[in-house]
Order: sequence, then structure tokens, then C-alpha cells
Amino acid sequence: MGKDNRKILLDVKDLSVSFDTYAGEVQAVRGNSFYVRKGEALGIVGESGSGKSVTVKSLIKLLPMPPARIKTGTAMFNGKDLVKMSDKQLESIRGSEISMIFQDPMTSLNPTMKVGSQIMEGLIKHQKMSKKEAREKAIEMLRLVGIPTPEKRIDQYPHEFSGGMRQRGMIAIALACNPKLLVADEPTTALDVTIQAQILDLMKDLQEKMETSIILITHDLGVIADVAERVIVMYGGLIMEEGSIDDVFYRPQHPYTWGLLKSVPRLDNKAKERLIPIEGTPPDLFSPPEGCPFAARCEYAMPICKEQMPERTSVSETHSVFCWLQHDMAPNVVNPVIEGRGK
Amino acid sequence: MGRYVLKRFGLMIITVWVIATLTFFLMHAIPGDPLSTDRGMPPEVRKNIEAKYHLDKPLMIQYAYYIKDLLHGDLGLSLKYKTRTVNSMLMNGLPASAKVGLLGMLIGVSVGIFLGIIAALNNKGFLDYLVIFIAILGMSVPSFVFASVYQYFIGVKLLWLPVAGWEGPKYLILPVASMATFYIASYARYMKTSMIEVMGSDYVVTAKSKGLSHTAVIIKHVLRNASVPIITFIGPSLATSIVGSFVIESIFGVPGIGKFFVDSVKQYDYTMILGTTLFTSILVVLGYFISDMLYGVVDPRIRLDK
Repeated sequence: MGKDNRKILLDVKDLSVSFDTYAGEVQAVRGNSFYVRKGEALGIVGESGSGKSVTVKSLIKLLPMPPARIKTGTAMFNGKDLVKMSDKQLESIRGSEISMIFQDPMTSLNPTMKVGSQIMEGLIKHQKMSKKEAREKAIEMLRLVGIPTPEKRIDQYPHEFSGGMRQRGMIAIALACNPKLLVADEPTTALDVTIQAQILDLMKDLQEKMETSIILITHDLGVIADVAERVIVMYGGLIMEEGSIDDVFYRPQHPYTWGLLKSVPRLDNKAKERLIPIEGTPPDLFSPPEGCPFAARCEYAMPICKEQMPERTSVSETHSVFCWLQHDMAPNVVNPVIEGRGK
Repeated sequence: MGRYVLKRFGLMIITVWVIATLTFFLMHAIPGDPLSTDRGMPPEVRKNIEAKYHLDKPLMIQYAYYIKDLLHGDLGLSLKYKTRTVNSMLMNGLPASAKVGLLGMLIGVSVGIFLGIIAALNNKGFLDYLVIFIAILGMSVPSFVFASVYQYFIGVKLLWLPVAGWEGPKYLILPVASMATFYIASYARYMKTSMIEVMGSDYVVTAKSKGLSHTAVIIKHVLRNASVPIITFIGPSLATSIVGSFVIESIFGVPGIGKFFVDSVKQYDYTMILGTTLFTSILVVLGYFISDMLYGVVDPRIRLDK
């Protein structure tokens, strides 16, 4: 990986998001920093409850606020801070510059509104198109996302579309106004495998055509490897490791990443090998641990791990990790993922 | 669509027939008969009357007579008001009952839905608690209490409106208000619950993610979807409101049909019981039919023309 010269589109610094509930404050995201370059596809991976969705949804305030609340942080998008924007300013950003695709295409389209009208809404609002222009553009978008006979489909309701087609419809809605950033929150989780592949191909294809940056959130490492150029691994509301696809898949540094990779079946492994689950449960975000959130489940945990969160350590120019094993005084641990791979 | 309507109509007729049959046999299974309350009636007179109403014949024959009359749209003579037919009594009382009932329901449902929307938009705010307070009050306090309260304060204390009677539009206001109270309460709750549910759904987040303003999201995406469950209640409400309310009618002296429902049972007035039951069930069945048709208008998934 050479030096990436593309401009930074979104630069998030020290973002913390909490939910105020009756039971107390849930610290879902705790001071994360990351960036997305122009035209880049960034993957965020982590298990349920690791804060990946909350991170991106909080940026354009798609979370119900309250109970959600951005505690700290800035998110510079095109030179403006999303966190400080008023509702009105955000409305003009949502759908036109930052769009989202959601997990469940069966529920994310309005069942009582024609698919075409749902695509047209954004166009009429952001691009001040007339109904007729918007309709033509909507047909064009449906064709672009690979829906046959779009002239007919545009007047149909979501229930007349299959799951995969609905997700294509969602992509058409999201990309209609040619956004600079597309946030896809588990876009293929609810689809079956063949459709998954089609939707991912479509997203990659459109990303190249429209030069959109993508943030892809998933718990599926296969999906990340397929689409993303760079990966962030999240756990317990914190970033654990960050690097290019090659860094994270071939030179993973964090024990949590090792665990994730070991729990995925591999086609190239001929030996009958058991998948190794990560033992234990995720941390309680009502009172997150002082130290590394993964320490309780980490087989390499040292006393320091439970007391203090490690600093970011750069492994290479593109690759950084938050782990005490990187410290000079830490014991030398052989990376079990690389070790385990049959040579 | 046409075929569906026809099929529904057929089913409705069967439903009404089943209700008529069940009511008929259940009524005859109750001990006592219409003439047993008249003590000291000479046996000859009793015989004559029984013969007139076919009460001396076996039950199945009586049933056959009944169904025959029913097919002619004839509900028979009242056993208590011996010179009047059930049809004419229902028709005489219906306009007053329907006027009070329908007006009360329409006003109640509209105000209720409006309050429900307000409550949902101010979820957990002051207005929400106020609406829910009104709703719980309206649902848990019986209508005759409200009727008496309105009567006392507006009629007796303030002298704004007549306490009771049936002599003009002025006399409508208090009974309609009492009738509306219950509908306001229940529909405010239905609508609020429904709105809150829709506002938390994925497609509302999608709509927001398109950059629509809050108002646009509510008007274009929430209201229509939130009204789908409400429609389930509208049809039956429509039906039951037409036959009016016994309690409200007797408190305000409305010459409606409400009193027949109670009196006929007390007096073993077979034909009247059957008449009122059948009349109500036809209205309820029609009410559900209207609800089903309305569904199709609001929700394309339930549209029936395919």
C-alpha cells in the first residue's frame, strides 16, 4: 500500500455517544477517531452492540435524541462540523451529501408509498426538481441499480418487490442525489447469500461510477474483505484496530481481531479444523471497564489491561492498534492467525 | 374487486342468518314467555293470543314462520305494544338515535385522533400527559357520570343548554357531547399508540435519512401508516353508534331505540329482542365491511383487486 493522496472527506475526532436511559447512561461509543477519504470504502466491523451503527448514525443524528446524545467530539465533513450543525443544516446534508442504506429492506421502505415516490422525495427536496424530472431520474436510478422494466416498477409498492429488489430500491433512494458519502449499515445481513453477492457487487460498481465514499458496517468479515479498502475493528464502543484490508486480514495485531478471524470458516483450509469462538460476553456499557474492554475475554490479558486503556500504536503507516501487547515491556506473543494458516 | 364484494355479501347474509337463528333458539330456551308476566289472564284469552303469534306451535314451526317473515323484511308484531310492528318502532326511534350516535362518534373520533396525534408528537411532554389523563378519565368513568355532570353544570348551573328533551338542535348538544366523550378517549389512545409505533419504524428513519423535515416525515410517512389500525375500529364504532346508547338516551330523554334493547329483554318481547339483535348485527357486519374496504384505500398491501 503506497501513500494515499486522496483528500479526507470525513474526519471524526474523539466521538462519544451515550444513551440516557432509566437504568443509567449507556456509553455506546467512547471517544473514537477515524476518517474516510474521498472515494474510499471504509469497513467497520464488530459484534452486535460494539457501537458501529451508533457511531455513524450519530453523525447525521439519525438516532432518537434524546435518549441518544453526542457527548464529545467533532466530525468535519467537507470543512464543516456535523456535530455542531443545526437540524435545518443537517436536513440539507442528509440524503444529498450523506445517504444511508439500512439492514432490513423489508421494513426500511414505507409500505404505503410507491417505490418511485420514495426515490423522488429526495430529488424534489434537494435538487429542486419538478415532479416530472424527478420521475425520470427515479426511473434512471432504478435502471442503474439493475431493476428490470423500471418504467413499470416505479409505480409499484414495496410489497411487490422481493427482498433483494427492495435493497436495490434503497440503494437507488440513497444514491439518487449523488451523495459524497454512502453509509451502509449491514446492507446485506438480511439477504440470502446469492443476493448478498449481487448487492455488494452493485455497491462496488456504483462506488466506482459515482466516486462515492462508502462506510460499510457489518459483522461479516467476508463482506468487508469484498468491498472495503480499509477496516476499523470495534469492540465495546472503542476502536481496537485500524488498517488496510491486507493489514487487518494478513497482519492482524489485536487479540480481538485474531479471535474474529479464527471464528470465520476458511475455504483454503483443508485440514478439518474447529472454528474457535471467542469465549465470554461483551462488556456492560452501563459501566464500561476502566481498561481495555476486551481484557475480560482476552487470553493474553495482563494486569495493566484491566486498569488502563492502551494508547494508539502505529504498526505501519496505514496500520494502528490499541493493545498493550504492542508495548516494549509486553511478552512476545506469536500471532495465532498467521501461525494457524497452513503454509 | 366486484367478486370480492359479492363474496363478502354472501358471507354477511350467512352471518346474519346464524345470528338470527342463535338468538331465536336461545330466547326460547330462557324460562318464561311473553305472556307469563300478565297474571290473571283468562286461559281462553291466552290461547287466542298464543294462536295469533304462533306460540302454540312446535318450536321448529315457529322458526319457519319467523324466517319466512324475515325474508319479507318483516320483524313481526311487538308482543308488548300489541298494535305496533317492530319495524315501525325501530324506524321511529332510529333517526333520533342515529343523529346523536353518529354525530357523537364523528366528533369523538375526529377530536380523539387529533388529540392522539398531539400526544404522540409531544411524547412524554406535558401535552402528552394531559391527553392521556383525559383519555384514561374518559374511558374509565362511565358515560352516565359524564352525562350527569354535563347536565348539572351546563344545564342546571349555567343554564346554557336544556337539561333534557327533544325539541330542536339545541337539545342535541349535551347528548352528543356525552356520546363523544368515550370516543375521544378511546381514539386518542389508539392513535397515540399507533403513531408512536410508526414513528419508531425503520422506514421513518429512512425518510429522515433522505433529509425530509420533521413535518414532512410526519405528514407523508407517519400519518397514513398510523391510521391503518384505527380503521379496524372505525367500522364497528360506526355500527354501534347508530343504534345509540340506552344510558345517554334515557338520561337526556332522547326518543331513540336504546330503550327497546333493555325493555324488550325485561318483558320477554321475543319479536322485539330478535328485531333489535338482528338490526344491530346487520349494522356491525356492515361496519366491518366498511372497515375492510377502507383498508384497501389506505394500505396497498390489502388492496383486493388482484
